Amino acid sequence: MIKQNLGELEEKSIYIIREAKSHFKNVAALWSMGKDSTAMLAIARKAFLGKVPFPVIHIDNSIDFPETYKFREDIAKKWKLDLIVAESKINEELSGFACCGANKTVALKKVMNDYGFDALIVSIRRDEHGIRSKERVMSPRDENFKWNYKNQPAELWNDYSSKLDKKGHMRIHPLLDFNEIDIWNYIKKEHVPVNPLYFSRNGYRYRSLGCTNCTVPVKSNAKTVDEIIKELENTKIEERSGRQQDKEKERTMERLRAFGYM
Amino acid sequence: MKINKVTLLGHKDHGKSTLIGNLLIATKSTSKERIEEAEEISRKLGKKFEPAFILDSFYEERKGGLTIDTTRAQIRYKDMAFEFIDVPGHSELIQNMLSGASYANIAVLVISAKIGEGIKKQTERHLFIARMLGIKHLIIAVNKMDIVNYKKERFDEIKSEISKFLSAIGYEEKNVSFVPISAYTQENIMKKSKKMDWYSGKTLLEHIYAASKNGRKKDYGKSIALMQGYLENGVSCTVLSGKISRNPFYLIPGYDKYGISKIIVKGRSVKEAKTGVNAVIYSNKKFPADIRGKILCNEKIVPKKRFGAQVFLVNNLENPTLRFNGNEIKCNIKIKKVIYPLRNKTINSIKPLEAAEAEITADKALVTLPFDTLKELGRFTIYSGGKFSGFGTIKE
Repeated sequence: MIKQNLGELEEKSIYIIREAKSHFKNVAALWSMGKDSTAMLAIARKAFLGKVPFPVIHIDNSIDFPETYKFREDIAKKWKLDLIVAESKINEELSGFACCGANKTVALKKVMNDYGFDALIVSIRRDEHGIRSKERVMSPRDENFKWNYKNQPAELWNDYSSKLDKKGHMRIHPLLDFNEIDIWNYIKKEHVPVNPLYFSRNGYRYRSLGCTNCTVPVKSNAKTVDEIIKELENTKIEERSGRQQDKEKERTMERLRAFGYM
Repeated sequence: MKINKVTLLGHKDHGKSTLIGNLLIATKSTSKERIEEAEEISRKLGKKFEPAFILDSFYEERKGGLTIDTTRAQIRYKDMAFEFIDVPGHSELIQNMLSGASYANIAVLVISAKIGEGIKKQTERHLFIARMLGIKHLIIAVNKMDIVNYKKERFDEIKSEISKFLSAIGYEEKNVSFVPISAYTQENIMKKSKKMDWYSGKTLLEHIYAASKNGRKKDYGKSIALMQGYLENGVSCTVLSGKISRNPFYLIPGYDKYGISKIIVKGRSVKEAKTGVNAVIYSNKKFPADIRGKILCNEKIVPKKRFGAQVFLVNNLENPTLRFNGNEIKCNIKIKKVIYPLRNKTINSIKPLEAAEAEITADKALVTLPFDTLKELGRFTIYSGGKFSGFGTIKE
């Protein structure tokens, strides 16, 4: 995995988050308590003189890991976050695609409409998935949260699209250029707090965090940030290999995203 | 590690995505899972193994065998890393091509040697766009040499034809290299081909490596920061050239002088902010409300309402606006001389997918510099009724 220049990546993210904040009236960010969205909040704090200037949304299906809830309370307090918990109900009969589609996406739609957010910061990265690799930094969604991926707006240089379907919202992707290993190097450099689930216990650790139903840990002995970085330098395995929703069929991610998933 | 951004160029089906897909496999830059997925989908669609499917991830792309939108993939080579930017080859998808290619500093044109393929309109158009985007180094990869029995004559024929076009649009010979390849069978990509012993030059990756070593840019002499907007009591800005320090600076347009009292970078107070840094600056004098898009400079630069530019159109123009450094401004675009296609020189209007030298009159004065001097102050996009309609680079 290629390590990129952290200073440059961070500058670009700062610029994007500030652009989002100046273009849109009502910005929010998704926070899953995972490594990427927590690193994004650390960058936002640097961009905005020490505080996160927008509400952060946790889509909570009440079956996240206990460590995740504790991490949420600790960091929200420490960083004085304006936390919105959007409850999503789990349908026991569904899993994977149907579950993410029915639960997370529906809950997200509700919270976006209730609060009238016109922009949503989402900490996805290009190297996570072939579909996410095709994203723009600023990517519009229509009223039904649909991603019109066959007709994305132009995005030359840093001229980010600010045009928006009147009833839709803009997805903002400030971490698009980061690789997984860059996130960990950034966490190390900036001492960003990490959800303990990422560290190895009994020979396994979570490399990508979803909810308890659909995320499985990967074999690993990495117990520290340094050991994770070392592990990633040599890995040939996909980051989201422990995520069921990516795997069912080749079009799953595309269909999920077309319906408004992250 | 510094990542050199390399865009692919070329007509559809000449092998851009296949080339990157095979590069990812050959350099072990992609996971087994992604390769297996590409294999499985090739099988399901009844095609032979298609490396392009590692990049072309949308269902419509795989089924239709085309690239719809731009994507990126990184590989490591020797002590460098390259980020390949794949772009669609279809002319109707040019705005997606621009969204990818505008980030590159090196370009690889993939052109098929197959009889009946060769140089197409879109081949020339992509090369012209690369020239306008300021991409200095070009590598011309003459692909599908396996289909023409690795014949030197076919390579020479394409080389001479493209050379003529490149010199007509202003590329210097020393910044262009040619290599005969077969993306599908991996000839001259990483290893020298044994099937083309008549070719003694570098492999494709060696050419890219050499071009990456060449690209050092000189800093423009002045210190300039582009103002983004208010951030509490300060103003956020990006340093485009030189450095911003606690000295007096001109705010342009207007030549009001501002003493800088405090500079914050990433939450910390600093003495100066260098090129590429996003800072928050403070002054004892209040900055105006319409700060966005103004610049801070240690010397006076004359703002202009009228300037000369090259424009490339993607859609028809009707009451056009310029998007320039964070602002959208009404303007008039007067076509002076057609510069692409080359054969249209006497006509003084252009259609979509054509380019011209133009005189632009903006509704308000802008701080511009020639694109060759400082690219951030020398480029703009054009919108028409809210629709992306083209882009331009400032000449004077």
